[in-house]
Amino acid sequence: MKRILFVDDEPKVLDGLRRMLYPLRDEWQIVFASNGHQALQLLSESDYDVIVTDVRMPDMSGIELLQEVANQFPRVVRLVLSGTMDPAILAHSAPLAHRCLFKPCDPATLRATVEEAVRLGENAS
Amino acid sequence: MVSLADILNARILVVDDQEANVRLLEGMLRIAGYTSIESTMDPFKVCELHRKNRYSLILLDLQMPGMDGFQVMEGLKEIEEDGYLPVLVITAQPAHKLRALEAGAKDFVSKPFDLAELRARVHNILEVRLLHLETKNYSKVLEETVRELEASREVVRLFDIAEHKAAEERLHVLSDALEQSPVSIVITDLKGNIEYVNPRTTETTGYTFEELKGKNPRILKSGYTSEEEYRTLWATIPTGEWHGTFHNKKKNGELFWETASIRPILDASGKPTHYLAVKEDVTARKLAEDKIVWLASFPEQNPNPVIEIEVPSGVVRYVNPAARDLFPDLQQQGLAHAWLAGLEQFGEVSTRAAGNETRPDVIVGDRCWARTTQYLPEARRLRVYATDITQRKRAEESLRQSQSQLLMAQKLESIGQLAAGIAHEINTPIQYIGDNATFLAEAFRDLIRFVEPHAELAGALLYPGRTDFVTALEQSVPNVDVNYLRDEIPKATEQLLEGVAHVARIVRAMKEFSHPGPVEKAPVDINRAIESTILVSKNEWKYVAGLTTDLDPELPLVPCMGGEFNQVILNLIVNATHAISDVVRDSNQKGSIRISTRRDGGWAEVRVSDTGAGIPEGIRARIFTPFFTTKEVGKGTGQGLAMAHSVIVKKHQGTIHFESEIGVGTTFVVRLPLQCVGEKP
Repeated sequence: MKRILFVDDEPKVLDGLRRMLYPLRDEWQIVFASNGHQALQLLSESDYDVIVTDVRMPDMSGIELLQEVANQFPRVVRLVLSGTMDPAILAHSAPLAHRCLFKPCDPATLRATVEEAVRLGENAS
Repeated sequence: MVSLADILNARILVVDDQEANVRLLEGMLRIAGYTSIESTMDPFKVCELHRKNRYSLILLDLQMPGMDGFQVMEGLKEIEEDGYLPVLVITAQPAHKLRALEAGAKDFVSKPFDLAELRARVHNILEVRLLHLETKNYSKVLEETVRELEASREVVRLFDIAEHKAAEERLHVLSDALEQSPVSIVITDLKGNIEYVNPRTTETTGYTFEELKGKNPRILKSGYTSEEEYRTLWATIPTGEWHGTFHNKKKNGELFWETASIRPILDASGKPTHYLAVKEDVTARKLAEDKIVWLASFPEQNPNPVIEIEVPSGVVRYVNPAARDLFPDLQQQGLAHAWLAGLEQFGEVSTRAAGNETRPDVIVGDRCWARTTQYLPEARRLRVYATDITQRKRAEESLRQSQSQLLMAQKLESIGQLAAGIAHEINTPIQYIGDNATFLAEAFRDLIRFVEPHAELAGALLYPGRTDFVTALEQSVPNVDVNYLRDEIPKATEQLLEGVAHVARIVRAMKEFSHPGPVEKAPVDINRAIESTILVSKNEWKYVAGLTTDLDPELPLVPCMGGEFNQVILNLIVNATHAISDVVRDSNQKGSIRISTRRDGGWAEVRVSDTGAGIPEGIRARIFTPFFTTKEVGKGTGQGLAMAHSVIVKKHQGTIHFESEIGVGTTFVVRLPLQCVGEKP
């Protein structure tokens, strides 16, 4: 089973994602973190295939998180699900992520992108 | 020296082809006390009259039919062999003045005549003239004296001791006269070597007699008197008298002007033995004359219009060439009034003291003019100095326009900035709305799949004993986590509705913020306006600060321009956010913003406080100045507070100020009157 970590500071977004991905519960094991520190903690405890993170978050931004993940857990495929279109932020996050998605992102695209990322991880390993 | 009686008795000739002018001038001169006045209206007679009567002064009109004043002066030059023309020209044309002075006239009076001016100029010119004549006569007397001296030497040789003694006494008296003379006297031999100078000469030149003795007077040459002049001099003096002016140099290097009259001293047989020079230092007079010409050139050469208007009649009395070029019709009365527009009644003007005053700008022709006026109480005239400020006015106008465009741009910029933030605010709820809706749709499908076999199962229960039927049905019930759905569906629905409400609230706030209703003042619930502004700007501050409000629910509606007010509050929130983010920067800490409203008598007061670094003392005076900013490039235009100040103070007659403490934070206080100005409570 593939393990996917979602990171967002808005709990309602995480709730929504959890419910939306519920039909895939047999294929993906989905874990949620509400900030970057928690995400890094979870990554250090067990293996994940894909991380999907928001960008603008208090304390540790998505950019910092992606940087850490790239350094510490290079095998985890990194996706961005960003609420901002701020070009300065995008310019910093895009090089760190394998793919960037923007909120609102329709469920089909999100699922397809995560599936693609899972395959990417499989090919890489 | 010249006495007043001499001046008043001097012979004066008035020359003008207009009888009225002749009478006017004669009358004015008589009033001034002159007794010996003649006149002619025929310019052709002037030279003849002068040859006969040798006038001390000729008042000469320049514009006469047949023979103009310049031609008359040419004729007079032939009579006055020393070239001194005792001429005061009369002219209405400023341009002629310089030309007349160059032609040899000594001064000029302007038409129309001004008694005081005429009196002063006539008096001055006569004084100079009589002094000149006196100098000339004096040199004649001296010549006689020297001749007598020579003769007395003969006498000494030829007659006895007693007579010698009488001659010596006479010599003593004469030499005393030389020593006391107020003019310089120089006696040279025929080669020009100095034999005698009187004390006045040493005083004037700074050289002692010993230094001058045996030297040529060339020692005084400055180089400014032409060689031509010297040649004429030396050609003239062996046989006759030479008059002229030297531009000489003193021992200390200072330049001075002296008029000189040089003639030979002849012995009994008529042969020249010496040269006698009688000289007068005329530097002061020369400088005064130069100064008159120089001063007269000022209005004449002024590139800006200068106009002199008589009050209270409003008649134009003088226009300089610049004004004449620009306004050829100015001397016609009608146009003068354009220049007097906006000034007080002439009656008031004429009671004013002299002095410069800046007057309101006027439009004359198609240009805009700044005016400085100067009232001349004695002449009862008002001088108007005009400066063309059309360009400046246009520039000011375009600056004003560009400033208002800039304010608009600042507003658009902040709306653009907000739009990005608002998009983020809306994107997030839309994301979970979509996810929840997707979930609900799928959950519904699952539930239907779960419920349908159960309906069949219920039917199967009607046939007891058919356990195979039941088993088949049980197998067909899908693997649906009903418990999960039972828990999650209500939450999903709830969050979906919350999301929709959240988006709706943002959209409403945006609408309120950017479409605030009429441009004029209208009663506004400023608490609500502030809440909307807080909401639309949430994305600006939420990462660096918590925001609390304490809005007075009793606050009445405030007459204000809602859109402008929102913009001010937005600027203050954004500034507070920037101030805090400078402090918290990378520290993961958050500052706080507090916004409160309250009523204070006839005022509504809004306070926006931050926990930023405070405003440094040194820049406090400038923070409301347009373009002043401490923010990095791209973060602020320096217009926010300037705009806030303009909106609150100019448009709402309110006040805006701040209280700031370094290291603690800043509070901006906006106060708006609850009653519009001019409105009754």
